[in-house]
Amino acid sequence: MRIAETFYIHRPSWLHRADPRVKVFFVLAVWGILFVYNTLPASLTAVVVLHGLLFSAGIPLRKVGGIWKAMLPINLSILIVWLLFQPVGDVVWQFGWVRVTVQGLLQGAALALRIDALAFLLFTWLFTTDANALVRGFVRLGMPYPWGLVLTLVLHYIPSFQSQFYAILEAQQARGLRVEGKGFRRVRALMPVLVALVIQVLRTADQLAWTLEARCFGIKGVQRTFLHETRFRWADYGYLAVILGVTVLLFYLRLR
Amino acid sequence: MTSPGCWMKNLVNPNPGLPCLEMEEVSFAYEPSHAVLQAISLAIPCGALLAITGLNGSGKTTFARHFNGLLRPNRGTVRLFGEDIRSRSISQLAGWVGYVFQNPDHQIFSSSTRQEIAFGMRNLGWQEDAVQQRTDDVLEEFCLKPYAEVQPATLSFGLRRKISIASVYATSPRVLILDEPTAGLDRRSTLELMAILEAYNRQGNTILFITHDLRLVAERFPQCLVLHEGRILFYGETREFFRNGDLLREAQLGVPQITRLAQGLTSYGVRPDILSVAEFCEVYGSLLGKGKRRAGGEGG
Repeated sequence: MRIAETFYIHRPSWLHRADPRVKVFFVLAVWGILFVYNTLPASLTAVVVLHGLLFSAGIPLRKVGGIWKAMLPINLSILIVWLLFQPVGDVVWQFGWVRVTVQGLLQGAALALRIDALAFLLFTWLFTTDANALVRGFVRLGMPYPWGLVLTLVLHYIPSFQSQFYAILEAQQARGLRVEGKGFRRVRALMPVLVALVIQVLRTADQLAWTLEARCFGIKGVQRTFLHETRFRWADYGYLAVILGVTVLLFYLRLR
Repeated sequence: MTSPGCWMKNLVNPNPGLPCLEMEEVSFAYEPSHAVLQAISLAIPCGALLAITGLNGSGKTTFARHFNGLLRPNRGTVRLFGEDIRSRSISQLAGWVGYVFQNPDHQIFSSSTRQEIAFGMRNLGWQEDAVQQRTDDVLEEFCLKPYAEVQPATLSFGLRRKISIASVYATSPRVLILDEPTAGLDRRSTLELMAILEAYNRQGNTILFITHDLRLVAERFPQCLVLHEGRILFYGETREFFRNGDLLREAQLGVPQITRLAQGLTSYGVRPDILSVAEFCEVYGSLLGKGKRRAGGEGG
């Protein structure tokens, strides 16, 4: 099995070219809007808009489908929990003490879609911003460089550890490990994989710290320079104006 | 010894006439646009000691991973002892085909070396007394006794490599595939490993050994398989491969120095297919002897 080592998908799109700081503002703004508009239509609108952005940035359908696939178990669990804990309302279907109500379904769907919207927001950002640009953006916003680097490393290593998980799984299966069953049984069967992965993660972290230090990372009193300077273009001012305008308007409509 | 608990239980003595591993028109690609294996067909007989070599990215690992079900061909058929393995899972095949991964850390997780070595046998359903016996034997054979109760993850890379090989070897697979097992091992450990593998091969087991170490291939492997851009460039006697200048140039592999020296001295009557220093000394000695005799004859 092969997995990309990073979330970033290189495409020559307007969203990829946008200043990383604009994208940080965009993420914060949409997050804030989703926070004050916690209704089903609002979450649905956000999901649709984010799909529009992903497709306009040339992100392949396969990748977008991948997010839905990853979100499916979370969505299902939210729906099930809401159905079980919202027994009041118009009953659609009843079996023993389990009652499925219209209100339960709607509230479950609203929460699930809100989580989906947040996931799509995060991936719209990560798919279109490469790790270095991300750090440059944060550093220009005042974040100390070492923190920015830690953030990049975390983002870089999540997919990398995911691919290591599958490599270890294959290695253990090749020694006869059977990964069967569901839930807790499956987790127990996966222990030889998870333990090996944790050892690998710790080893990588340790080695990474040494290799960074060996290349003089963290020396005091050094002015860091960048090969690619992050500069606002006219388009970036435009995007920022649209984001600010829409956010202020929506907040005003909600909170007045 | 308990036979592995898997579907081939009845296949205790496979027909010696049948090839052990077979590929028929096998093609494979990770991405549709880039084929890694292109219509590969070959048959590897039971009891082969075969080195697999080729440049980085030539498809060696991808090729070998088809034999224990880690990869499934996009087209073509892979057979183990004559049986199509299409519908067999990796863990079902594990009892017959052992696979040692390039990175030992992809498999080490136990709290002691002893447990790590016993892991595969327990997965395959061996009786506990057989597991203990075999673990002790393997610890002894791989000189790992002093580390039996040590956490393997804390050991040096060389030792972790040895443990990863020992833990797969311990399951007594009929086919043992090793993916660059000598990378990171010193010469002494490499030769110790080769001695163990050669003894295991003499018991009739098949060994596929992926390596970039052409000196090792020349000295210790009677047969080799050379892959180049996803195709078989050569499969046969190692000596024949090193004799063929055109093949060597096409494979772009570093020829062992002793073979290069011999090839440079062909006009003086040295054979171009010399594979080891010992062989060179023998040939060179006999040439000197001839020379002396001739000189002696002329003088007399």
